[in-house]
Amino acid sequence: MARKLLVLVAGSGLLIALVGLSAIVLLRRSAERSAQAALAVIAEQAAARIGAYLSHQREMLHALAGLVTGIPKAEQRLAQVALDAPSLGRVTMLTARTPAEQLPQHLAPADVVAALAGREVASPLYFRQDLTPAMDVCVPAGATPGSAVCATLDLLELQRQVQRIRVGGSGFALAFDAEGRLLAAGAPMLRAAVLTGEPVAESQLASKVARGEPAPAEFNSGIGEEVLAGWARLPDPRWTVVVEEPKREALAPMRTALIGLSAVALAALIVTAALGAAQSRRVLDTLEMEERWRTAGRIATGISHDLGHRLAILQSTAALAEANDPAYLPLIRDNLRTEMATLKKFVADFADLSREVSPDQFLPLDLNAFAQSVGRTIVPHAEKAGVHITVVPAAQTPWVKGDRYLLERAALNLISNAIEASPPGGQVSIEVTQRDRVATLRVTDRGPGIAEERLPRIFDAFKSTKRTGAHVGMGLPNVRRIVIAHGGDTAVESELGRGATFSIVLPIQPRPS
Amino acid sequence: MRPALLAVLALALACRPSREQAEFRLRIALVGPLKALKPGMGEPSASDYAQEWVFESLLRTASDGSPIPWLASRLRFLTPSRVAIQLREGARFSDGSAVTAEDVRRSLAADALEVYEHEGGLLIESRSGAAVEPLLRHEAIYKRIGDQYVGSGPFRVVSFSPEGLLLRRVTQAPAKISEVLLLGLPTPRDPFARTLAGDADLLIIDDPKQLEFFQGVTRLRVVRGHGANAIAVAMGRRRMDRGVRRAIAAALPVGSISRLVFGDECPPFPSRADASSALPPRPLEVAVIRQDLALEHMALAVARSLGPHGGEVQFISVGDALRLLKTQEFDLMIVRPLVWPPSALGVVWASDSPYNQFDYRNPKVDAALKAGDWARALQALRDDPPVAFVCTPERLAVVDSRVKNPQVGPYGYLETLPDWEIAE
Repeated sequence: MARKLLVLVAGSGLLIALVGLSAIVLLRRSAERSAQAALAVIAEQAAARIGAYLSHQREMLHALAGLVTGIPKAEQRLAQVALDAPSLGRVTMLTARTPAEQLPQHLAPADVVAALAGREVASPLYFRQDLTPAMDVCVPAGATPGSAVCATLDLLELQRQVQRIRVGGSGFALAFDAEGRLLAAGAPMLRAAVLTGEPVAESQLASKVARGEPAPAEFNSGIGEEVLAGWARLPDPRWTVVVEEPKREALAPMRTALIGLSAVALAALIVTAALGAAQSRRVLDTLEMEERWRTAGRIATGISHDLGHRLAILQSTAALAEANDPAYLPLIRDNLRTEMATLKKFVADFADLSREVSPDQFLPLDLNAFAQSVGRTIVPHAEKAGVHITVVPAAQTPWVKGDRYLLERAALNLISNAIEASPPGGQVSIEVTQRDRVATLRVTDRGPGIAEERLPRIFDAFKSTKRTGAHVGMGLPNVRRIVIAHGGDTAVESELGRGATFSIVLPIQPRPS
Repeated sequence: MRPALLAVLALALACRPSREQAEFRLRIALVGPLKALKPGMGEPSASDYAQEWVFESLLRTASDGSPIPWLASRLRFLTPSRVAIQLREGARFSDGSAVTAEDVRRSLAADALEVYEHEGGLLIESRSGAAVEPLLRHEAIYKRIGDQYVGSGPFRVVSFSPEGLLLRRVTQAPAKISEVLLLGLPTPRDPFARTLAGDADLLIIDDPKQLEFFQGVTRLRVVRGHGANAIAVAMGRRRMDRGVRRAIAAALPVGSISRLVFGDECPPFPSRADASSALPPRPLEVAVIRQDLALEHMALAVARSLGPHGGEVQFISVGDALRLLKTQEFDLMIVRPLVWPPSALGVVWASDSPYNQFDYRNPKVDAALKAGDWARALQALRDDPPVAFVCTPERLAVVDSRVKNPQVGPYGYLETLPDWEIAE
């Protein structure tokens, strides 16, 4: 019972541990998703700032273009703008007469033509001689056809914005153009690629994002370790921003929390199991003690009832003997014989109870031969009661292992009960069968049978079906004790008025060589 | 027990890395191609940074601008144009030969300096009567062996190509730089890329904005120092007389101009408002070399600060600028003259100086320079100003963080490199 309780507690603990593990996995995934979402938000914010900055510069350029249109010395005034709006870099007027060496250096010829035709055009990002990131932008010069105002936008501020983004201890941001060229890098070890134009690990992903394809939120970064990432895309120019954080760092707080939580849960589990086991043992000890007292009480009740009955008969017999009437002598003799036999069986039952079952002393046993032997032993007793015994062996020889003496006591107990329950002229059959790795010895009588409500507790101690006062109800419990100790089981089937069948079921053993 | 302990100690000492293993090579990324190292003012190249490590001059410049003996161990100025010196005892060229009076005489001949043996030492005298101190700081003492130039500095040339100049310390010193490798790279962005990629340990920064590339790069540290060249507005003497130039110098708000263009990166010169003449009625054109956006902005700011007297900004080439400076046929021009140490006035503004690119001739300035009175020379310069000084940008470099005491300046950009210590 204690072991079962312990297993129950341990099982519960295991279940809790499994639930805990599942919770850890779920928490980890949840933390990853949260970190990725946070990185994506930062990337979106960075992209929005870049977009707003560029938009602001273009708006300024448009405003300038509107202001200088048609005024004298427009070129000089535009040049002066560089002092008030240094982010516009060098501001110039573009016309069809502009010398080639004064055209915006990084605009394609087709873009220059388009700018003169009244379209807003922009070059890719490039690095000026002083290594400041820049972009040539031209906007139409007001309503004046064939002229445009151009600026060399100073994008140092954008580079600074991207480089200054810090996430945790070592998270960073990268900005790419539509072809996946690195424009700004928060990770110092990737910054050389900004100047050389060499692709980094993220370049291919960035060009995919620029095309509108989804990008993975987890990959091996150019910094040489696995990162979680959030991406954002600018519509114009088609740049992408990715914010990355090394996975080890992004999940570190969650990992620490989970380790702490797991440690606490494990400690709680161990304490609970220990307390549960200790408490169970204490309860079991109490129950066992109470059960012992109850058993002792039942034994005492049975013994006092049975011995009291026997004592009353012996007192009556003694009274007959004191009468000194020879006519009573046969009665006195019969009474004494009967009571002696009863008391002898009483003692034998207790002797059986006291005999321990030792599995290490079990020997192979042919159950067919065993049944025939028991049948022969019981024949005198059966004949005396006018009951006929039949033995039906199994078709094959079923071998079992056991203490022959105890098994014989158990079988004889069942057969004696069957004989006593049978009317004179009745029949008791002993049948042996073998099926599914078990052998069964069935004892069947055609007596009055047992009431259905008594069957479930028929093998309990002191629950004899006989109310003659000659038994304390130790026989069937002893049969069950012996059979269980042999690794087997007992069973009973009965119907009132149609007799009863008691079975001893034992595991089949290999035939001894 | 004790012998066992001693044995373990002996083993531990034997296993310590040797000095040889701790040698440190400093790689400097520069824009090439490099040229063979040659003392004096040859055609400028990035190799010139190595001049001060291979060649020594007789004097060097302390951080306060004063001269201190270098190859000359003792000196005594008899007059500003005559000085008696003793060569440093045991001074030797990197080939092992001793530095002689003949070597000094040959090295200083280009500057019209006479060298005599005098009282166990040397007497150096300027034939023109010019102050010798600036020249002695500047001119390297060398010895020519075939087509090679050998110096007495702490480093010697090991190998040369236009892509790489390797120098090695003549006498190895613990925890100091053992070798210097100058890398001559094709484009201005290559030194940055190579330094960021970890292929170089030192990079000279021209523009403070370029420091943005090194933000968060823990392997490198930023080193700042006082600049030796000012940003100034040259005033054409053929077009404007002394009074007009003084008026222009007084009218220029140098503080606000430097802040507008450079922010806090260029400390302004103190303004001297002592104008007595009026500005000319016509607008003054401002010429600037079109290669540096900051200088372009400076030209625009100067033109604007002069109000109606400010004219157009003209973008010119380097060749045009040199020609105009010689002829002085311009109104205003943005220039970067040497201003430090104070004796540099003698190099830039003395009438007979070979480095007087402004063709400036002022007897009062010459007299003060010959007398070695730099303050008086500066005052004379202000009375007849060829330029209006605006500000002096800082010198900047990024250096490997393992270098404990890097410094730019005080005179040459990296002259203190031989003294830099390397963290263990």
